[in-house]
This record gives sequence, C-alpha cells and structure tokens, in this order.
Amino acid sequence: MKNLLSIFLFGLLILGVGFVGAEATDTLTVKTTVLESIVSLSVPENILFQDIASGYLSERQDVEVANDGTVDISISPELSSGYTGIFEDLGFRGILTDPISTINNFDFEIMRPTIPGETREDTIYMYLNLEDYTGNVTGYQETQITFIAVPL
Amino acid sequence: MKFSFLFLFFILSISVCSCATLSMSPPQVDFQGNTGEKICSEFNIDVDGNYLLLGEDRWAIEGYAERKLSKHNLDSAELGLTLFYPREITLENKTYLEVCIEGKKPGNFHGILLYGIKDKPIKVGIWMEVQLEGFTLESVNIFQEGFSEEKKLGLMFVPGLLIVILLVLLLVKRKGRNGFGR
Repeated sequence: MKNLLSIFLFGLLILGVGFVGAEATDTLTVKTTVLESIVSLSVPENILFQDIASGYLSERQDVEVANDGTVDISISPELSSGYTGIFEDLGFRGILTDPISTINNFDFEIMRPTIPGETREDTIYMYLNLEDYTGNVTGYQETQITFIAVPL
Repeated sequence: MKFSFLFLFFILSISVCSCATLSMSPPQVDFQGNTGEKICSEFNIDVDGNYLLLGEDRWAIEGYAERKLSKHNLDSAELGLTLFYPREITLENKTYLEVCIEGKKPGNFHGILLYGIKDKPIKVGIWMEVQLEGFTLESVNIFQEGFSEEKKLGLMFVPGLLIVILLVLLLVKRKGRNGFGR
C-alpha cells in the first residue's frame, strides 16, 4: 500500500513538474538581427606591370577583388573617361583557361559571402597586351582604372 | 619564431591597407509617381575613413530593365529626368542620403546611381527603377520657356490667313448679291 502511495505521489510530482515546464515554454521568444542588403567591394589600389615593349604580352598580374556585402555583384573595370593610350590594350581573364578580353568587354561576377558579414574573394587576371600595338609610346606610363560594382 | 609571426602580421597589414572599400544599400530604390512630381528615396553609403565621394547616374533606353551596366550609358536629361542628389560629398563612416527624381515624360526608366571615392579605383552602384504616370509636360514647357521666333511667326500667320479667307468670302458673297440684284 505504501509502495502504491509512493508511486502515486511520485507520478503526481512528475506531472506537476511537466505542467510547470509546459507553462515555462508556452511563449518562446525568437530573436534575430536582419542586416541590410549591402553592395560592397574591395579592390587593390595599384597594379604594376614589369617593363614591356611593343609586340609582347605582359606577365600576368593577379588582382584580388572582394565582395564584402550581402548580395551577388557584377564588376566591370573602366578606364578613366577620354583616355587614349597603351592601357586601352589592358586585357582580363576571369579564369586562366578563358581567352583574354579587352577592358571594354570584360565583366565578372562574385557571389555573396556564404555567411553575412564575411567576405568572398575572387582573383582576376590582368595583362597588358601590346602584341598588336603599333604606336610609338615609350617611357613610364600610368593611368587610372575603376572597378564598378553593381548588384546582380 | 616570434620574428616569423611579426613578419606575417606586417605582410597581412600591408595587404589590408592597400585596398579601397565602399558599400551602398539598398541594392535598388523604386520611384513611383506622376510626371512633374518630385519623388524621393533614401539610401546609405558606408566608407572606411574620411573621403570625398563623387556621385553620378547612368540610364538605359526607356523600357529596358535588365541589370546590365554596359547598357546604361544615357544621361538623365536625354530621358527628361532631373535628379537631385549630392554630386560631391565628404563622408566618414555610414551616412544616409536622399535621391529625388522629377520626370517630364510618363514611362518606365531604369538607371544606376554610382558613387566612387575620389582618386581611388572603386565605384559602387544601386539600381533605380522609375515608373511615371501622367501627361508629357512639354506643352507646359512651351509657355514656361516662351515662344521662339518661328513659333511666333506661325501663330501670327494662321489667324492672319483665316482673316484673309473670311474677307475674300465676304467679298464674293457681296458681289454675288449685287449680281442677283441686277
């Protein structure tokens, strides 16, 4: 009889605890912070090609470009407006097996980072292609190019 | 060992510092309204440090809505759009800005608002989608801008011609009456 009573009381206790527990989990607060959709880009500020002459293709320059935002982006390099000179023959490759595209016909995409707030980096390959260059420019040359990022 | 770590840290610091970073948000702003109405929208720019930013906008032909930068090579004025946003602004960290649009013609227009850091190789853009309803406001502009010499001559010529025709008809009618009277 005592055993039965003990089992009954123990069962009652368990039920009571369960009931209290159910009450505690009745309202579950769910929290998060939704980040803004951001278009963001990081690029290096200088690219230096080694000495080159007409009729040659420069050594490859690897350019690290990073998507720091939260959306997929398309990136297009652009020469400063009105520029004419040897840097019109800048060439780009997104993949090493691709043919070299001229600066006016090249764009590439970087998908958003896997985790918000992180960065996804990609490498593009840059050349100065003077194989068909017929001008007679010599000496030190420099120009500005801009990488333009827009959301896909 | 310590020297190796210090060297690695130095190399990493250099690679981080030689980059330019710029962010804009949201990726697209929409403008819906009527011709002649100034419609505004908010966006933000985030930049690491204190920089002078230069803004510009580029547009595609009316009705084109794909997100292809190379197809966006028109000036807003060519589409009858007037934009109001800071063309030059010095910013430090995250800042909210406003872009407003006023259009003269109804239609769907697609553009990009770009900001770049002065003397840095970077520009970031957000798309602008504009839907305008209403009437073309060119007729209003004629009165606002005044009449050209050609238009003035045209406007004087038409009523003058009508008066001459009316006088000729009156003379013909009078002669006809006189003729019947005899």
